[in-house]
Amino acid sequence: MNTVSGSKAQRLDLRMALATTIAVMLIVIESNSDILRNVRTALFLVVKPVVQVAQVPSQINNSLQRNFVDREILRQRLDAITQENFELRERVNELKSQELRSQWLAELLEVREKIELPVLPANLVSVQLLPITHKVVLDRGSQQQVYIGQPVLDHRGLIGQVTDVTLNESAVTLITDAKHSVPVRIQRNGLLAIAHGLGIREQLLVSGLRTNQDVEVGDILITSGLDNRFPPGYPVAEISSVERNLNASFAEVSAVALALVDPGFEVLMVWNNEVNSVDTLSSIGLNEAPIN
Amino acid sequence: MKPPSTSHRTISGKLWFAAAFALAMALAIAPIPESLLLYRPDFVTLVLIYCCLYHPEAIGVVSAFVVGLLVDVLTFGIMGQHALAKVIVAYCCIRLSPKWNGVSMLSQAFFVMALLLVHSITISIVRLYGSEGSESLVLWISPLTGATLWLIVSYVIQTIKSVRNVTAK
Repeated sequence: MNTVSGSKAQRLDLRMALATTIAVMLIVIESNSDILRNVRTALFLVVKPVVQVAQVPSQINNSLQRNFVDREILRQRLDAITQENFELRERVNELKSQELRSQWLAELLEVREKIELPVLPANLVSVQLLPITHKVVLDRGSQQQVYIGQPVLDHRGLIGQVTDVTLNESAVTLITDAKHSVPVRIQRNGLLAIAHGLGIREQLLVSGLRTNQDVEVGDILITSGLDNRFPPGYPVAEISSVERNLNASFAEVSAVALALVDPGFEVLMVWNNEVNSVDTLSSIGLNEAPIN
Repeated sequence: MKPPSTSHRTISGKLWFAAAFALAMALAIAPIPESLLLYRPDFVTLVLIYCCLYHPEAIGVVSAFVVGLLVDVLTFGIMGQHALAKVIVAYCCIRLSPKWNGVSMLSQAFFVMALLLVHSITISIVRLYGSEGSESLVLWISPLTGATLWLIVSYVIQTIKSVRNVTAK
């Protein structure tokens, strides 16, 4: 059985050469253009059952956790949520009065009113938090009008953007991915900066802040919206360290992402409509320096 | 682990292989605790190595190419990277399979580790070319865990076989 005869070996070599050539061609085409996207979408239908099977263990785990949680833990959780709800209600009242004021200010400054953007909840299908590449797959795709570059959030903050879409799934590159950058603004004083992913979980590097500018540990970074991709005002990260070297003109600032990606959690996909119409299929905004 | 059919040309024989690869792919993308992510063995390549060694008449470089392409689609990576790596692994496997019998289990595991390393090296070269960044640690730890898994599984199979032989006598 385990012998390779002459003619068989020749056939093997031929097939090997052919398969290698095609694979290399695919790689070259893939890294230089988008034309294989439809092929990928079609092939994804073939492997779709595999994705569904892969979800089964975590689904079982989730339902087990849901059904067999200790009464005491549930009680505690309920108490915590009630408390949080109470605090949030208070905050809403506070915000309502603030909103009136800011509306007046906005009219004064002729800033356009912030529009409520349409959102769609989505579930995580798989998480690939490998060092360097941070990607997750969501269960919404082009059938739900998901587009490339679409921002993805959770209740804590920005998660990332869609970088690949198939019929019913989409791949999201996280803001912590080493190739991802997002233009941000410091919530406290409006200073502009860019938050780069490092490929390390939760860690972000913040560039564009001068040594003499007002940055403090604990400052919250929000999206600035200057890239026309992410809607402005969503929380992104909290500054964790600021190092000022007097010889350098820029401060070394690092931050911790606010949104955590955990399997089994729901996320929100946002339709940033004006952007959608402008550059749906234009290049993915990775590594773009949006503040020019 | 072995497909029960005598001929791999039959449809049921082929289904067995397809099922094995599908299961391996599911294991490769199933969400697992983050602390374990680094140690997840490359199940698909392990199944491929097994098939190429024991059923080279059924699974060859062409099947390896198709499986690799599907893995690329599944992981949203550069298309062709796993196809290329798996074609190379399958080729090495089939070429070296005549020397496979009569080798100790430990050296078999080392051989498997070498093949998994070849796979990792190919993937990281492609990632460098596509400037995707290589997941350095995962690529280099998974061959170790893969070879360990291989060793454990082949030990279990051998034990079962020897127990069977004893009871048969």
